[in-house]
Amino acid sequence: MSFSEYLSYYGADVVQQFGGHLGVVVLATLLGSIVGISTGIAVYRVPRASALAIKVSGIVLTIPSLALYVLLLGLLGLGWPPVLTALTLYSLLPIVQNTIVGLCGVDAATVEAAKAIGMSRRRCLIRVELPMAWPIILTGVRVSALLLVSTAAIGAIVNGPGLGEAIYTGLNQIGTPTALYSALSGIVGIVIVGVLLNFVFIALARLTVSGGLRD
Amino acid sequence: MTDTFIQLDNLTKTFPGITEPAVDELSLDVCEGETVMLVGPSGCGKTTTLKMINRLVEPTSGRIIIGGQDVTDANPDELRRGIGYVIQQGGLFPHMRVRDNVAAVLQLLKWSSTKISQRVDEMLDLVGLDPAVYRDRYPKQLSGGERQRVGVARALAADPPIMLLDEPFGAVDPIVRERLQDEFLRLQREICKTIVFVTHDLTEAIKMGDRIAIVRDHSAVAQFDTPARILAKPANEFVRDFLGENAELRALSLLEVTSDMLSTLPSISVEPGEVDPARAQGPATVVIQDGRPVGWVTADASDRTFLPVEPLVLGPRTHLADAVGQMVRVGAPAAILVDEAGQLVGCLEFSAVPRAVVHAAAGSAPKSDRVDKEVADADHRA
Repeated sequence: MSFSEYLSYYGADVVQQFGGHLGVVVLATLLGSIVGISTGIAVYRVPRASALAIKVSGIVLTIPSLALYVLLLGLLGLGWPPVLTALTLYSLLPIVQNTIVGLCGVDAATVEAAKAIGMSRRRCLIRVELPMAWPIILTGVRVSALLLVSTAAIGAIVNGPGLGEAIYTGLNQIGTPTALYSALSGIVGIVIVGVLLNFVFIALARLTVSGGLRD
Repeated sequence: MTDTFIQLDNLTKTFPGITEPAVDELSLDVCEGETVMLVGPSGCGKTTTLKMINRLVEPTSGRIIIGGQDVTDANPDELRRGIGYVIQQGGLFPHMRVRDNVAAVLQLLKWSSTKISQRVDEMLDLVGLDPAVYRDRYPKQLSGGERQRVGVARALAADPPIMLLDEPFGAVDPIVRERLQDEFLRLQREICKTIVFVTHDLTEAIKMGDRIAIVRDHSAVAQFDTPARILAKPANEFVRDFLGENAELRALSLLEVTSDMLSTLPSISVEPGEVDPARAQGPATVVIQDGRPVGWVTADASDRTFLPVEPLVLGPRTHLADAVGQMVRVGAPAAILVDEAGQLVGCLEFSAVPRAVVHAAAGSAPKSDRVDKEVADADHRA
């Protein structure tokens, strides 16, 4: 059996797994961005709170993914919920850290100029600080998303969505004719998800980063 | 015109964790339509003082009264929308186009978008930037001088009665700085804002200010007066040190030549093309040709020589320095001054120059009064 024959038999499954993989990564990145950017905004003015937020999200990232999935299995059961939760937690560190770094890096004189023309603190944050920090925040989101692409593969052990399932199937069937093809389709699929997301982020940066901040 | 518009009353600012106050019981009155320069060594608290006027820095104690209203406890955001603020490099928002930078205050004031875009173009024109060229640029696509102009346009957009400037021309090269200063002076004659201007550059202070407050540590005002009077008569050792040597020479370029300084020297009328040094009377004689003074005949022992002179026109743009310049250039003991028609008005003898400086120190009218007087004279003539 050739790889193309394998695909003609199992192609629909691979496509579904591909969709699930992309879906869970995008969704977790979105959730992580909402939580992470909000946390960053809440703490960036207070150095001690910033350090704490970075430390906590850093500790989360050090938990081995295998352990975290099993831990969440008891709380959330099988399938999407534990995988989505774990991935969201994993996405936090780069996003929180880059939000804080980005907002703290906004030139103090520019913020003062915004205040001096009568912008409220809130308006200054929305109109001046966030747009200026956005390139750095977006980089954090991108790093998170790419990190999740590989971590999501392990979600298959709790029956989660994604291409991890294809890899595990391959591992479990070592010696059978389709084992290699199964694992290969999972790996190639994951690489394509990664490349695709990378392009999405390049486009997103083009669309959302002000021309005045680009080189 | 000379009503107090901004009144700082016993302002003190102590930053947390620092025992010495940054500004200690400062009182300063700024009149409507005048430019007051705060000048002093770095770290003397002049920027802190400026920022207390728009409450970017909240005073620890003391009052700020603007236009008769105590604004010490007013809503700072609303207060600031009525005060233009320009800082070094303009403080522009790098992620916004020039038009959005200029429109920033107008958006806060909820102007309609058609009115805003009209106003933006008007403001860019005012500061000498072609709207069609510059409207859609980002700050990074501008030179330092252009950024500074956009900063001024933004500060002026909502037509605030007060402008605060914090070393606005500090980051541009000397040639551009001078041009920006000249343009700002021209602009100020049109817009007549009440301006508080912080600088560490004495030359800039003398050039731009109606009055100068020389500030020492903790924003203690060492002297607050017109540039001419400060230069001619420093109030104390600190001011004298700050002005440096030969401050009086700077005063020469500020003091106008006025008719009461002039004296009449002997003159001779000659036919065109014919100068006869022998007819000279006394050490220096004005030579008049066709009713216009053309030079001197000086007598040096037995040697008499003719010295051609380009006479100065008596008026608000002729200063003592110009007259001294003429004397030095020509090598004559006095300067020749004419009226607009070119007729001889009189001569400024060298000995009258130091007298004029001393006289100014004793109390000449401040610049703003002088403007009043000119206006009054004009009214009178009309």
